[in-house]
Amino acid sequence: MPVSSQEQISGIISNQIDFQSQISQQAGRKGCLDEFVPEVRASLHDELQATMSAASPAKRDRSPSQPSLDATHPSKKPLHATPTASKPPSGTKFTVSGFPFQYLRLRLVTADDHSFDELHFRNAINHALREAFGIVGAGHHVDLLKFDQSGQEGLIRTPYDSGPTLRAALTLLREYQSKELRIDVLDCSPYLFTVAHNSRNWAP
Amino acid sequence: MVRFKNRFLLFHIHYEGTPNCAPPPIDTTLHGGHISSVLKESILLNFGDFGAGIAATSTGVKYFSPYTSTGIIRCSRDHYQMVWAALTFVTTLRGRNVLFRVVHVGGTIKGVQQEAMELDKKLLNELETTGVITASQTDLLLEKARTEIEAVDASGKGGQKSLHLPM
Repeated sequence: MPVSSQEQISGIISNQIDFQSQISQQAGRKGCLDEFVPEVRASLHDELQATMSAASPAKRDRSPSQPSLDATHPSKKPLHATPTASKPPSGTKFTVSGFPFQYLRLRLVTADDHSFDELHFRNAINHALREAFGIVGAGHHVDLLKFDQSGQEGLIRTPYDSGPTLRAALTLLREYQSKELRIDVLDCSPYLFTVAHNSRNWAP
Repeated sequence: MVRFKNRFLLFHIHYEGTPNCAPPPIDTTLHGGHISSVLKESILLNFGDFGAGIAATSTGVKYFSPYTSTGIIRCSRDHYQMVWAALTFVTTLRGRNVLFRVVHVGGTIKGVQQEAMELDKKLLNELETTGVITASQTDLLLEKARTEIEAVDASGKGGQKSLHLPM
């Protein structure tokens, strides 16, 4: 990084520290943060020092004009002394990965109000996949997690990449065991807790 | 102008061996229509209505010789792997156990034509040396094969029956 922009940045950071120390002083004036003001200033100071040393270890002795913080902290180490070990700047680590599963809440609706049990329900899903996408399509992994026979509602799980294929097959299903039916997708989500309960339907 | 990109699959059929390890009898009544109907069934069984809909208009058998059991299938570039897989899944043809092997895949008709002619020549010479057909027959068949292969048109007109789903 060229020196000029570094000095600009350190200038901006020192201005910020001034601004924040002013704020903390004002807060201190109200009497509630008196004991925290020195710590706040010290921690801001530490962070500035850490970022400066991490960015350019070679330019430590050419440190820019420092804010007048050390005047209030005689016990603090002078800024020109090189730190013994460069502290890496603190940060937050995120891990991003894909979703493993897609969960769907389905309702089976028949023309003559016939009621299927869970085995037939699972078989109807298999039939739908087989009709639309053949043997290769029927190989998509589907687990039936929950089934309510009275309402003909089921909760299924499938690998995330199989979601669009499964949804298309369910939409195209129109008859099973010579009974006209359709499958409605009530809810669809990669998170199980989304489909398990709905705050609008929940009644204590 | 939208270009329809094709893939041409040159395939060879292996028949299940007879008990004496003799070469299998040649069924001269076999033609491209049989191959295409078997291929269509396989696509419907293995890839469903979706597969059949995709493959129907773009897939067709362009050349087939029952003497050498080789042929050329034309399909669209986007789905040639599905057609290839469905062809591999075919296990019986007119009551005989078979194995389809794709020997060459090409984007242009010219390359596949050359490969087809070379393969046919090689197989016809083998048939002649094993005594299944006579030398004069070989020449006749070679000539016939060459004219038929050269008649395969890249744009899809001409050639043998294309896939035709009954409505």
